[in-house]
Amino acid sequence: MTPNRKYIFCLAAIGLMAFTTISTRLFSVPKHFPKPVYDFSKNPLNAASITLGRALFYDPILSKNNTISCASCHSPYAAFTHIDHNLSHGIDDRIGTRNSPALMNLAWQNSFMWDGAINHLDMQALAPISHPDEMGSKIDSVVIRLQKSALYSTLFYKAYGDSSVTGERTLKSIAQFMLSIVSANAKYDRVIQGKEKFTAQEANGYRLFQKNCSSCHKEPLFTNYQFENNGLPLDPKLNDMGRMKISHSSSDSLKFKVPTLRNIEYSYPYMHDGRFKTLSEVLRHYTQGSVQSKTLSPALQQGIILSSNEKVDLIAFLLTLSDIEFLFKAEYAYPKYIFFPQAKE
Amino acid sequence: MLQSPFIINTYLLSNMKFIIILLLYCFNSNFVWAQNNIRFKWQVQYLGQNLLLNKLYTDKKDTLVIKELKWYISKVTLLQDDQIVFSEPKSVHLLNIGEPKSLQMELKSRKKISFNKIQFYIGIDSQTNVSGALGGDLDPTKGMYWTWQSGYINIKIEGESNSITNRDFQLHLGGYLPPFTTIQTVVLPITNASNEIKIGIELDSWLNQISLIGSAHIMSPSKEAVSMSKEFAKQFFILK
Repeated sequence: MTPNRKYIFCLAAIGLMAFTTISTRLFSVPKHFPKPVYDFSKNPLNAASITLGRALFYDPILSKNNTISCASCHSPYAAFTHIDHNLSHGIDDRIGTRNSPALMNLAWQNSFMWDGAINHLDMQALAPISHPDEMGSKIDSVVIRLQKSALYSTLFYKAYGDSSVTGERTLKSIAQFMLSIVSANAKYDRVIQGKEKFTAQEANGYRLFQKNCSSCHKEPLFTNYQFENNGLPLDPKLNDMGRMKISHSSSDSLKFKVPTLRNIEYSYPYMHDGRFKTLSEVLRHYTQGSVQSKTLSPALQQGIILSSNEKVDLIAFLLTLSDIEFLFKAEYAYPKYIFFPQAKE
Repeated sequence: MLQSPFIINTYLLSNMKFIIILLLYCFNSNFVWAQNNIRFKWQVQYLGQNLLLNKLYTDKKDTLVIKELKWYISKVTLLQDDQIVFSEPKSVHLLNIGEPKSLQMELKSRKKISFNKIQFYIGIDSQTNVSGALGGDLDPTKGMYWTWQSGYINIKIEGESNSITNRDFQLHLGGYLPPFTTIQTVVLPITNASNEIKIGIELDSWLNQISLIGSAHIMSPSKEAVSMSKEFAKQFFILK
């Protein structure tokens, strides 16, 4: 470019920027939620990166043999977990050792996996991509595959202004899609906002919840994101010691991350190994099955006592955490329009 | 969508950085910056010779083949009488014996710097370890990031030796949380500062210090990883 042309180009570029519009808000903090922990300044959300992340989330291209996508174990209709599988399975029908967690409100979460092995949402996807029992691939092979794909050249171009695929961009885009998955419109939320009222049964369940459960399943996210031993007897076949594997500290023996209870109606089976299929089984564990040990959560030391009527009321309250809008939100679903642009709905 | 002038203003403000870069791009062809860059070359030595990957080294009955050797250098600073005279911005370098280009490091400076010490970390600091996905030499595609547990591998060495059962060894040394913090600081005095300085690493001396027997496979933060990293940091010297 000659210097004159260069100036004209620069001025034109600056001029054009004044006309670009800001897209509608891609992420907003619900009024009754705390401040997110995710640092958005290092990965500013933009619609095109979220779309790229959404494509990656639903695309088996991430797995070694093109069979497993993130959504295989994190289906939107099951609150982004693996419905009906106690232990999640990956390529070649290999079975893992844990139940895939439900995904939502991840901007508020400071560590990931049942044992907190992952310290940042951006890095989370690396684990399933690389695990031999999950996707069995490697981030560098994934990047090479994406570089060869015309579809992803376009999607990366739209998201980042050039089509170069890097590990950083791939992971940050997946993180952007995961950040966009927010559940904050259950009946509970509407009651908190004064828009609806609990039934008498739900209100009693809420009272019981606050008394017995809310120290770990803290409102409004319904988890304190801490690691706790909730008194589950050790499964000798899996021999999973939880957090201790990461911290190397015996005080963390049998501790697992407290999961959110939001959308619990859809995220069965329950616990880190999916050992309980129903909420009744879960309540039976807390009232009768809890095993005493050195690391048992202090909140459970005294045991929880609930009559059978109280259990029913508590479950009625837990069902107010179901967010139907979240489950069927078009923006979270399989992006057919990206993969099959010709197909008619 | 209708936009208030306020929104347009804030939008422009948020793009000031980009505009400034754009303007710099426009003007940069008119200036020639003075360059006083200092170049560093890293040489890994084995028994006094430059190490070659995949070469069979024999010492009495012992054999050694190094298949991979990579490590991170970060926060490079130059000192003059213990005063910092230069800190490299965004200072991270992945040195890889398999990629000779990576063994050269250029500190960019316009001013002439007088210095008599270089200081750097071996490894990645804890802040960077918890900062999510990063690019360049820190991109996880570089094979220096653990996937099952977050954290950078600071030093990676893989190879074979007949002194080890099953022959092969893999040391992935890293860990940013106490008690297994593996990052090390190295300070080297430089007597004849020139524009090109060679830094040597004595690999044979390191391998003699650490015992591969019994700990030939290290893949997570551990006591062994910490002591091996400490020993690695002692092997750096300025080549005459």
